[in-house]
Amino acid sequence: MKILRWQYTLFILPALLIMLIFFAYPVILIFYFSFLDYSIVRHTKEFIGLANYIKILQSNLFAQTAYNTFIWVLISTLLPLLLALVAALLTYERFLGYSIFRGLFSLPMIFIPSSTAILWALMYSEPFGLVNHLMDLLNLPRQIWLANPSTVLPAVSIANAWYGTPMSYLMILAGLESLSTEVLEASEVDGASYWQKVRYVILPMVYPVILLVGLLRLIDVIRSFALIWIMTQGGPGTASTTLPVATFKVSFLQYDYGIGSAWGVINVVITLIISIFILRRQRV
Amino acid sequence: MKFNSIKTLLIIILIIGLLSWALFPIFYSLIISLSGFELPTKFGFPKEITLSNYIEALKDKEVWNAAWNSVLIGFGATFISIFTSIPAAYAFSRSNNKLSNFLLYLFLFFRLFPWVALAFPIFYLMARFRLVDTYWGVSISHSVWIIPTSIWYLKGFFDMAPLELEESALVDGANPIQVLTRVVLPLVVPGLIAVSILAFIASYTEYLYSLILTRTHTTTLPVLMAGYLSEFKVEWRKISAISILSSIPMILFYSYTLSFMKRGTLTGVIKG
Repeated sequence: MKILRWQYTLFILPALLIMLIFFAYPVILIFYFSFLDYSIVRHTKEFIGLANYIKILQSNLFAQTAYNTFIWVLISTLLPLLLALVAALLTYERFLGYSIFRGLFSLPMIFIPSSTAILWALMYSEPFGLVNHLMDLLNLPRQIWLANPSTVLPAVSIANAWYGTPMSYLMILAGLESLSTEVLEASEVDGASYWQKVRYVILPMVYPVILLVGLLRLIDVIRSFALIWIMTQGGPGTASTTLPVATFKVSFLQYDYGIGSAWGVINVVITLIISIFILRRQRV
Repeated sequence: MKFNSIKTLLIIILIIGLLSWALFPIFYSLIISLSGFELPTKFGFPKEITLSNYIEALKDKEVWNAAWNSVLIGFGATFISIFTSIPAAYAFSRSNNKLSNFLLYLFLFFRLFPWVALAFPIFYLMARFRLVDTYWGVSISHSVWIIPTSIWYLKGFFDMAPLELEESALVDGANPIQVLTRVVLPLVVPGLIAVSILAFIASYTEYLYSLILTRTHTTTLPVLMAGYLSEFKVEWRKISAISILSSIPMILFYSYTLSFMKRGTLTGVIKG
């Protein structure tokens, strides 16, 4: 069916209008604010050029935040990917009760981020947390995981990895199940062992899917805010402050909207460069 | 495939390991939510099992209020995003020119944007429009992020609907709006339900925008629950019960959506 231009415009208009007012305009605003010295505390709102950016890029917080974001993304992307791959390969073997396994292994998905934060804050808590009970069993010292600067970042990243594993698992499983079975059967006829089959047939065939799932996860994780904010608020100190947390903290806790917006722009630039680079390579 | 005992043992160990990873946090919070006054300070089961934490959570007015707010805002966000996405997705599906392709990819680009960067400007705008702490304000802020995804999913469903019916309806003298509402929409009802559920889930789980746009009147469940963790004395038993209860709607939704999405969208996403 041919759609005429006025009809087309009419159909798209409502969605476009919302996106223009509540997305495009805020994007313009954030660039504008980032050039201002704009703070409720100091009662200022004046143009200062690039001073906010220079201030951020020279601060210790920026280096710390970049490092934290890297660790956070690394753990919460690779760990779910690895576990999801092992689980998907297992499920693909159709062992007895595999559908029950699939349901149970996907269960973390049903929690909302706030519940996940509570579940894992409980796991890490002292003296009631399960993680510390396990430390007792292993004869290791108990830790206050979320209040210790050297353990807080791995701790919240692992919680995030737990939350993200089911989605990666279901996607990799869908990829595995869409493979053609002929090649697999041929390799079995040729007498390949299970490990040879996985190593030389399944993994190369499913590799593009694994890569895509990992990269999509990376794009999600680098922007994610809720879990880390609820569990630690970026603390103790700045030990778990990632890029989104820093952006939020400066605007809504220090009420410094100029610097906060500059953080936002840096956040946007970094996220979009990585995402577009990834999507280009993948041609999604 | 041949089974031998070593391989079977390995598989069993792997299954137990993976399931412990996925289930221990859930299982542990279930135990805490069922335990009596004394919480376990070392490995083991609590001395007393009781449902009183759940009863206490369900008696809490604050919790009911937040849950009701979450549902209202979720319906609002679903309503706004579905009713704007349907015509837009239909137009994208039935036209193939440069402008429409550009706009379609622009909507994909919105999806990649870091939400947190726009938190302050959105708050600023909502304050200007006097929409802070109102149901519509929070719903709109959620739907901004739901609309792009909904359009992409719905476009996929519209692409699959056969064109012949529409053409014959047009020949019979129907206008494009009638074609969309009377002929095309009935064909994609299952897809429409799935997309609506995904929209509702997205709003139900959303935290950041609910946090900055709600005060006392429209506090949603995720914001209320997150607040419990920063209290001076954390009541683990009650908040564990609430986190278990808050996932009940998600179980209902996912069981429908997953069975529907398994063949369609999920593999569609992967095949690109």
